[in-house]
Amino acid sequence: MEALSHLWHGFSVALSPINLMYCAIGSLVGTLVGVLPGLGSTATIAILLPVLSGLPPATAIIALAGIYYGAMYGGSTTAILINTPGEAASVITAADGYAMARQGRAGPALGMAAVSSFVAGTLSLFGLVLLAPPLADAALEFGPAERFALMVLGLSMVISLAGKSLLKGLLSGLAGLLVGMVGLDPMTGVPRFTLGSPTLLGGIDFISVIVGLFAIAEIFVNVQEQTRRVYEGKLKGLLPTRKDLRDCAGAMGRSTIVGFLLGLLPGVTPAVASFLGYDMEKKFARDPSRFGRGAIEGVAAAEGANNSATSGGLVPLFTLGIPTTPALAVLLGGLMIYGLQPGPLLFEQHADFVWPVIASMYVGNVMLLILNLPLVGLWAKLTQVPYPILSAGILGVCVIGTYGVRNNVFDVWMMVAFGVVGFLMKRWDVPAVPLVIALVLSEPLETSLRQALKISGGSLMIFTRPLSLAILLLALASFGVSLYSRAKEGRLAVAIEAGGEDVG
Amino acid sequence: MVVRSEAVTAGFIGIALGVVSLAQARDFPIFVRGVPQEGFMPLLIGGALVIVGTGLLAGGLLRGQKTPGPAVAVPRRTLYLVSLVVVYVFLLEIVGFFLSTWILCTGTIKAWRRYGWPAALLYGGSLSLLLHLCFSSWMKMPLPRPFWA
Repeated sequence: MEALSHLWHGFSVALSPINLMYCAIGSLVGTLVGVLPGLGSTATIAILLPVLSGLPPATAIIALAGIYYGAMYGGSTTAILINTPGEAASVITAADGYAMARQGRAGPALGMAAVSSFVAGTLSLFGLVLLAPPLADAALEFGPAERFALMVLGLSMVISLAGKSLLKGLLSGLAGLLVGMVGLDPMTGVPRFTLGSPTLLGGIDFISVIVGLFAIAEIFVNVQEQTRRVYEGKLKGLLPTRKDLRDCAGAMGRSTIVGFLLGLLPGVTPAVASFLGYDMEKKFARDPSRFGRGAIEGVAAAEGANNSATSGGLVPLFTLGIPTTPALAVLLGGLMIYGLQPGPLLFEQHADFVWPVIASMYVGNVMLLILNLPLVGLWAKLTQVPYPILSAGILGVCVIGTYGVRNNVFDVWMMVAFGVVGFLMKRWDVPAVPLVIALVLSEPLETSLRQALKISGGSLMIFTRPLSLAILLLALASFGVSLYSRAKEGRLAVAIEAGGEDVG
Repeated sequence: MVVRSEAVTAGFIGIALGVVSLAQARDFPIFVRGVPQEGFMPLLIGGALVIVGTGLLAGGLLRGQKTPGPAVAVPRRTLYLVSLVVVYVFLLEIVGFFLSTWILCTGTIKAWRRYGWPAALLYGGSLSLLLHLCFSSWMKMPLPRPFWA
């Protein structure tokens, strides 16, 4: 009850005109940042931190948090409209979102992304308020072995997202792990796969890979097919229908819970949470084959998990001073600049700071919904722009975004190279999403595995701890279910072809 | 050039990547007193890639013997656009962002053969100018400059 009264006070501060204004500015800037690949929320928060340092601490952090949330939404906008994820967390949104745009349903996809983010933000706010301290303690139970198990669970998605060919999906995933190893060894700092080049010491930037694999490859495919527009014909509705909202209610609820719980864990970024939330929803679906072909539940699940993981990440940040994502690490730096020490005492000693920030998260969510829903129609019209002109613009923006990461033309070269790779992958029916998932997980997976084995002195018994064993068994079960479904589909296809009875 | 089986090609690529990873693993220690070192993951991933690549290759060859895949023509328009983008990246740090992007946008629009040169140049120039004004002038993002600047 005390928490609720603190929250009420927090709202009264967050809704002050000056804080509302900075929240709005932050949300707008964040949305723009998220739309542009390469201009991540991390870099933007880092750049603006000194600029905002003259403001009262709560106001500055409210603005920065608005950027963080806005970037999440902005990334999903371009993922849906033009298959160009602006952030890692939007990659899986593109799977169904872009398919919906090609079916003339860009508006409902964008609307559902906004609604799902809002619902997830609202529900996870309650989680944050009511469950923060005990959840923070539970998160401490997650050691390297448990984190490794969680990464394996994430990689098990490679199977479910592998499409028709399991081996091609595995090839894509393993290639992603390989690409992730380029650069410095995460534990010892020794260069690997750098070919003696100082440029490769920094590794291959993730943004170059996703922009190349998705946006550039898409343009390479469309130029061959001489695509005239993303969608030809009249747009089918600009907002989700009541049926869409009913169909997605379960997806929103489940993905919120999954995303929030995963967001509590260090090393689990909103991107990973969105992958796992999507995969779980696909398993719950009556017809999983719809996913990846324009299932609105896929958009709802990905965005819900993404947004709630963002809120969940605030729990270890405030209660333990542990940032779960790079952007939150910069935010932590911001807290320290203001002399605020994260930890259990933060809530007691600086309640006048913490609760307005938490309240502003919700206000930011509402603001994003209010600002972006009316713009859905405008965004959806982008799908009607003649594709030659649209593709030229996309190429220009992609180059800017990729170059802007490290001000290095090498990253642009990587973007082009992965554009070619992505084009060939599409031609050869090799799924690109497993490569991206594996790339995201490569470093934390290796770090967790080696840390766990270091702690146990090389013994694998460390993975028999209850939590890690349970997660590994879940990953195995997920793998088994996917294999079984694939085998069943294969037998059914053979039976249909032969004109025989269903052997499933 | 005709590609008969994408599985065979993907298989070869998988094996090649695996060999590269295994070669790198040789340069580092794998375990020291039971603790995995820098060569551990390259060894693991390399081995897995070789296995998966071999599986793809074998499957593709077996399927190819039963039902050869369709012939796939060289995608000329895509090759044109890839070449254009490569030239563009070369030009970026020579003539700067604005001019090179104008060339890229014009060439991209022309790839669709729906617009004449005047329209393509106009649209391309407008897009390039818009991007330059938005990102370089307004947002002060450092973009590549021409060598004479």
